[in-house]
Amino acid sequence: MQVLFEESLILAHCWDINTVPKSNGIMKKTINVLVIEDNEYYNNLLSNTIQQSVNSILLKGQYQLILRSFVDAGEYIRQIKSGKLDCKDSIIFLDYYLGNGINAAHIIKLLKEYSCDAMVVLLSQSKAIKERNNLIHYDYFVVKDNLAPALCCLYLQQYIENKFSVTLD
Amino acid sequence: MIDPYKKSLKKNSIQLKIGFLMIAGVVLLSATCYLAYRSLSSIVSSIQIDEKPELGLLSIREISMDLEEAENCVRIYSVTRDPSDIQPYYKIITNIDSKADKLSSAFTNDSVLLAQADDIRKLIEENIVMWNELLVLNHDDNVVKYLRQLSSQIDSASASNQRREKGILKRVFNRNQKTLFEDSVIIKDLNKIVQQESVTKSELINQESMLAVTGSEIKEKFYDLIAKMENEVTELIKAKALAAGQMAEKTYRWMFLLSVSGGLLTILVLFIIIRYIRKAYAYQNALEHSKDEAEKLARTKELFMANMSHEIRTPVTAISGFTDQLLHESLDESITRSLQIIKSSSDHLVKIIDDILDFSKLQNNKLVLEKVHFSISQITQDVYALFEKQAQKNNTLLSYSLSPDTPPVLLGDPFRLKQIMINLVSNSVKFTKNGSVHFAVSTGMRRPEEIDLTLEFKDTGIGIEESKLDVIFEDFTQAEMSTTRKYGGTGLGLSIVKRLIDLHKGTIDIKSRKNHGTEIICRIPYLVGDISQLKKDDIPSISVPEEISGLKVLIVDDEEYNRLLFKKILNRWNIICHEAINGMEALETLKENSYDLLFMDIRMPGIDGVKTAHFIREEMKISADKMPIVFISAAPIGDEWQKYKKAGMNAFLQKPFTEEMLLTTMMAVAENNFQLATAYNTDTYNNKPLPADKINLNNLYHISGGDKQFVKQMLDSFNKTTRKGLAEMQQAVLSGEWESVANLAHKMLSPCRHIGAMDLYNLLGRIENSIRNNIRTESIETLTGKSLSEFEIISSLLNEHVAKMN
Repeated sequence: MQVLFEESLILAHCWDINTVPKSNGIMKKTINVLVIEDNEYYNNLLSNTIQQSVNSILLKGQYQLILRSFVDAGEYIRQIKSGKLDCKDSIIFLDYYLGNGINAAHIIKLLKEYSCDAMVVLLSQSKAIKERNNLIHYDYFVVKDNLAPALCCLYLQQYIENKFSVTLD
Repeated sequence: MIDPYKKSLKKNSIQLKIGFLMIAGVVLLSATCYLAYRSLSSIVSSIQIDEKPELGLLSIREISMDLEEAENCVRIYSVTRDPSDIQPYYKIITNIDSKADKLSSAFTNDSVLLAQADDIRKLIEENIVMWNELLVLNHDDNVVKYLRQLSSQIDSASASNQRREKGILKRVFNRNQKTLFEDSVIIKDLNKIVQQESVTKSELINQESMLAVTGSEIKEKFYDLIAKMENEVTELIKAKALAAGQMAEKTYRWMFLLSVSGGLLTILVLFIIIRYIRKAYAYQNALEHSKDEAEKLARTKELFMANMSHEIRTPVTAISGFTDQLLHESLDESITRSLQIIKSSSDHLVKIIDDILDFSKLQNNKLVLEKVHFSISQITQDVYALFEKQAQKNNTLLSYSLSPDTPPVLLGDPFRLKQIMINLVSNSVKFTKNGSVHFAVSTGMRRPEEIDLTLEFKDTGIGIEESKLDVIFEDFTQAEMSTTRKYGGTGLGLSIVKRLIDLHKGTIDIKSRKNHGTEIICRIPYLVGDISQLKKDDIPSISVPEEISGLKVLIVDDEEYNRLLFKKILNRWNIICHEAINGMEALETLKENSYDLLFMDIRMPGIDGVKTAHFIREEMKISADKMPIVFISAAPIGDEWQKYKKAGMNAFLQKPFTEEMLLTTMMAVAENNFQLATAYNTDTYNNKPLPADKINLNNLYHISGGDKQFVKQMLDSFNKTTRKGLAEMQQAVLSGEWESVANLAHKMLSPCRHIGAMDLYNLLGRIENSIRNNIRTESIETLTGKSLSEFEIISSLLNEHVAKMN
């Protein structure tokens, strides 16, 4: 498969949500979330759902959420390669087909190259992807149905609980 | 590690140091006081000494006055010749001696002054002698006067008057009697006398002049002495003042030195105390730190115990369960015997783990007593049945009695009562060979609704030494160290019993004699129960009810053997059994299938049972009456009940479980109005909206949490991206880029599904599938056209919806 990096085709879209101000001196536990999904609607949906699901945790003041979302996977690859972005301790919600010939396998390979130990939640329209790609490494697989955003939040919650050894209710 | 002895020594040394310094301080202070006192008193005494010279002066003044008076007396007498005038003189000279003595005594310390005083004394004596002589001379002078008078009278008056004169002369002058008799002789004598008188007179003059000289000499000496004395006194005062000054200076110096050393001492004491306090503070910190550490360690220990017991119980579940299953199958005798041993060993292991868990809970006050209605006779029967065989093996007669006045139903925790009885009876049976064990249950009335249940356990076993009776309720204790080796056990049994009885606010008494047996009496308060509330929770035999066959059950457990055990039992009961190895898989399975019952382990890797259950209930909307959830865990449920229930749990099953337990749980779930018998073939989770609806925004609203702006934003976003996507797709269709078409269609699938635009979703799905699988049942062009027109409908519906929102 050919990887295209044509500037004209890239819909650069990257936004950071830093919900809690860092100013009050307490070292906050950072939850790094990355969403790579080429459909803008679904990207927004996932990002918003994720943000809302952790709101109750953020309100407690001990955590901060850094949510980066990319509609353009190429942009993400460029940022990683140029060193603008690191991928430490993140949970990644990754769509399989990312447009422009890029798919999740490319991203996962890149993550491996940059020795990133992020938890990967692979999203796809069909279960067939899961069966076809049992060689690429991912932690969870989510079929993009109506339950998908909720499931993503569930996995995120579990991730936070495991990482910070807390129980969230 | 810090040696405690060393530490105490250090502490002592601090006390010693401070004590020593305090004593030194007190000594210094007293020394200062003493010095100050001494200096002061010496200064005062020096002032007192100064009075003495004054005394000397006074006596000098007195003496000089006396001398003057004496001289006056002499002079007056010499004029008047009146004896009365001379009287004071004699008085004075008798006193002057004592005064001179006084003067000398005043100067006993001063040799110079003393010599002077002696000089004065001598002069006074000389003076007195001279005065005396003068007085004598004065007498003589009187004679001369009289004589002269007489001679002139004789000369002028002649012999006619001789008789009378003779008488007078006779009377006055005995000495010159002869001269009166013979005139010539008398004249001659008189002349002689006149001559003599003139001699005397000159002598008198001489004497007087000498007296004057000595008087002046005495005066001079007196003045000299006074001056000297004054000088001396001034000198003395000066010397005293100097000495006092010196002494004061010395005292000041000493006082200064002592004050400085006192100050230094105080600073030293303060320094030592501050250092000690700082050290103590550091120790305190260290102590607090180690306390925290210890608490952390205790927590870790607790956690470790909980985890380990869980880890141990899990395989035991498998061992016990499978052994049970194998025992059901007809096998040859030796295997059955071995299996029985495995069964009893695993049961024993479970018992030990339970003991440890109970103990840990009791220790942490985490054990909560249940309140249910129970039959006391059932419990006594159960306990009896449990130990009947073991007693037989020991050739011991086991018997029990239940007094008729005991209420048949009590309200309390039957499980814990049974545990108490089991522990005590098991001890009795264990330690009694060839004897008898009897336990009796009776009642003491407290109030009409409350009784004191009295449990008496009597055995004729090995007994306990009286000295050991106090310690046997302590943790991990058995009366003899050898007991564990001989009879086994953790030594926790009695400790648990004691703690359980304490928890019930009951009492326990023990009487025992070595080799004669033991008697234990427990009194536990219970409320009287209601027979109608009694639950028939004991299913006498495994007769599986007909209605459960054909049920569809999903087992979610990460441990393979647990799943296998479930499958084996449930398959025998004709229950369709599916498995999932974790929460994620369970959710995936549930999306596609429906089940009548879900058994789920709580602790699983990834998403745990609680979260999965929550997701099933809240997100997948599978209600409890459609599919009850039974949680399974090796850990007792404890106080987590509420949390599990909130997550969606309907029943709880603890591992390891028996067939009876499993069936009981399933029946209990069924009785709770969950129609287990009815199989649900319809889709439990229907993710297809009703055909009449072109869109379904429920999901979006659910996620938005009531944020209309968000819904609007999302719908706008959907409109924009889908329109763009469809336009691009149309373009790609025209240029025959099929891969692109499939990708674009794929991209739009999820949003369509999310807003419930299922018709569009299906159309796009068909486009993608036919391209990817290369099955062209319909032309892509047609499908694209259909999609476009479908989108227009959806778009207008969405616009309408957005308009309504405003």
